[in-house]
Amino acid sequence: MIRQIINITWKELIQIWRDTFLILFLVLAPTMQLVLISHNTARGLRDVSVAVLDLDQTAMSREFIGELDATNELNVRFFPSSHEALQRLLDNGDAQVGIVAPRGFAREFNSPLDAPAQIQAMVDGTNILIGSMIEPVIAGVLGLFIQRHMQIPQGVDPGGVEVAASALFNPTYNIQWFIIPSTVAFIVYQVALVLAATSFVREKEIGTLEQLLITPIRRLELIIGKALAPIALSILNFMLLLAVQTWGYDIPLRGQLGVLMMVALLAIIAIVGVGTLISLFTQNQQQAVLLVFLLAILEVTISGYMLPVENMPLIMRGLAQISSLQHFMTASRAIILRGATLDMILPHVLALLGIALGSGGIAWRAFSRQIG
Amino acid sequence: MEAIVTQHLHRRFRKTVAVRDLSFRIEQGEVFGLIGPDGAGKTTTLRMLAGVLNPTSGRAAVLGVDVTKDPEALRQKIGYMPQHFSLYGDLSVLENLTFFAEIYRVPSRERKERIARLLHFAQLRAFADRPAGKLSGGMKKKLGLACALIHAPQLLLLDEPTNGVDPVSRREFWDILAELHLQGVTILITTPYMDEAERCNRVGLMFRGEIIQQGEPEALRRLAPGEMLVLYTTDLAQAEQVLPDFPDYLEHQVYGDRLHIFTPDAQAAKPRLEAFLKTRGIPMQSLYQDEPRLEEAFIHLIRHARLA
Repeated sequence: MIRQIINITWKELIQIWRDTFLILFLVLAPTMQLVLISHNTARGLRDVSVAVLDLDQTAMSREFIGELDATNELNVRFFPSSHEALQRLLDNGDAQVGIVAPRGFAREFNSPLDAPAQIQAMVDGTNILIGSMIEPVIAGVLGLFIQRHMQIPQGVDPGGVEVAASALFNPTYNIQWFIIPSTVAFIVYQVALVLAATSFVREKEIGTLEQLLITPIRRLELIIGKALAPIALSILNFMLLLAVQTWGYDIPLRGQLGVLMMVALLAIIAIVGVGTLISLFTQNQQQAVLLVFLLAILEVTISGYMLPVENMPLIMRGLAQISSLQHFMTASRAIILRGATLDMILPHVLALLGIALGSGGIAWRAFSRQIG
Repeated sequence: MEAIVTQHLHRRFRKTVAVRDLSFRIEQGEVFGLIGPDGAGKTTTLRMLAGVLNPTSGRAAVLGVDVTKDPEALRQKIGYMPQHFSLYGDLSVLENLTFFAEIYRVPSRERKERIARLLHFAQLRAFADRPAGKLSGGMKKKLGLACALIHAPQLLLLDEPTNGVDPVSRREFWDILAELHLQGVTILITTPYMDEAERCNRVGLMFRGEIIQQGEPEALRRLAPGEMLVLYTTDLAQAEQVLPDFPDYLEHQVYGDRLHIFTPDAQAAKPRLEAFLKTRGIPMQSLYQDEPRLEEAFIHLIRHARLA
């Protein structure tokens, strides 16, 4: 039994190793995806082009503009002299944000008990990303500016309630902390699924499957042997990506490595089980890859990678319960970022176990019935 | 003792009957050739005997084992080469052999020696490290045979193993089979080539799921209808049309630019046929008597079966 399984797995690994294109896919796809996605989408805004109409023309207003420019997010490039000129810059897209410092901006600081200092900001609404992210940046600069310059008379307590929100686990609200562990899970999912989904169907295509079926090898041995190769490669892949995440992007691993590896292994087995099912029920590799593509679109949507699972309609939340990617992502993020222990993620572990056993069982039964 | 015994073996695919009530036996050590037109049910028969396909009804015992009861035990004893035998093109010749040796649980002590012998046997020694995908068609077939022989099976099931192979490679392939025959291996082979059928101990002609005739090639050859005259003519179409009017005519078959005409007594019919063709204005280049081959007998038998 064991020897037969090892023999099949070894053969699979040799074949994968000799397939230059597949190796390229295995190495390049994860690297590119991780680097590109995390570098580009996770860094937030950078050097957004800003036009400032300074109607106040005081030292104070110029200092404020200088502070806007000093942020990483904003780059003040234009100083139009009128509202019309500002509008033109926004219309033709040279500036994505327009800011107006009103007349009397400086004066309002000196008499704080009058109307508060008002800054008008205009944002190109067609770019949702900039639109939603720019406001807190400007508000933040303004807030610090006010704190520094507001002249509160001696002995007077400004009063009021100060609300201090503090982000748990991710004190700096670093979006990379969310995106990168999710992307790692997604990459492992994709690679494992593609490898498993093409394994049987490739032999079906070249005709070696019938050849194997007339040997004394048992079908269970064949299924396990063929599944072990993508499982082993995917675990390796996960460890590699985890190292990049921890040391390359400085994302702390707060939970136990052992628990994380166990979840990853279970998730990979579940994914490979689903892939094996695809492989058994398709007739050629093209069908298999198209099915993987379809499934990946579905799982990305319901996994919580793009939208929180909690906000989805009921039916989608139901589907999310049988999505191996969803459980993998949620559980691994909890372990990595929140230091979740096994008992906290037990539902996900059980769900993954269920998917693994279910898909494996169906694969075995279906395969035993096929041919003959 | 028989290597293969089938009783009323039957296989249906939806509404099509592929193998119909098939009963035949093959003795141990025999080389049995299964021939017949495409769709006659040869491959289906072989697959049932290999235990990859279950019969709809009927029984088949291979080497004394019921194919439906214990197919796994059987697989250790038989070598099966499907029609589209495929090897792993990205594995080398040696790796393919080693892989199948592992799967057939060839003891590691014997493995090295057996692989070396098969490489020599299949004349593939010089290509041991070449990827199987880069072998020529004939070499691929020989490697396929070597893989099917790795566990020293007592029975070989070969489904059109030489289809699409050049004549020289075909001859080499048959030399290997002859040697296996000498070693006592039973061989059941399907083939579209009549010259290969003549090299078998016995031949079965399959048609519409049944074996309609079987016996030694020599005996089957005699089933051709009467004696045979070969006619070369430049007007084949016209000759075909008038021939049935010839009094001693039994049947004719077209082979390229010549006609094979069957008649009860060729010697007597020859001068009369010459005269007949002259009166009908058919140009005649040559007319001579020849021995009917297996092929003529089979075409006659299949025509006959079609009419029945």
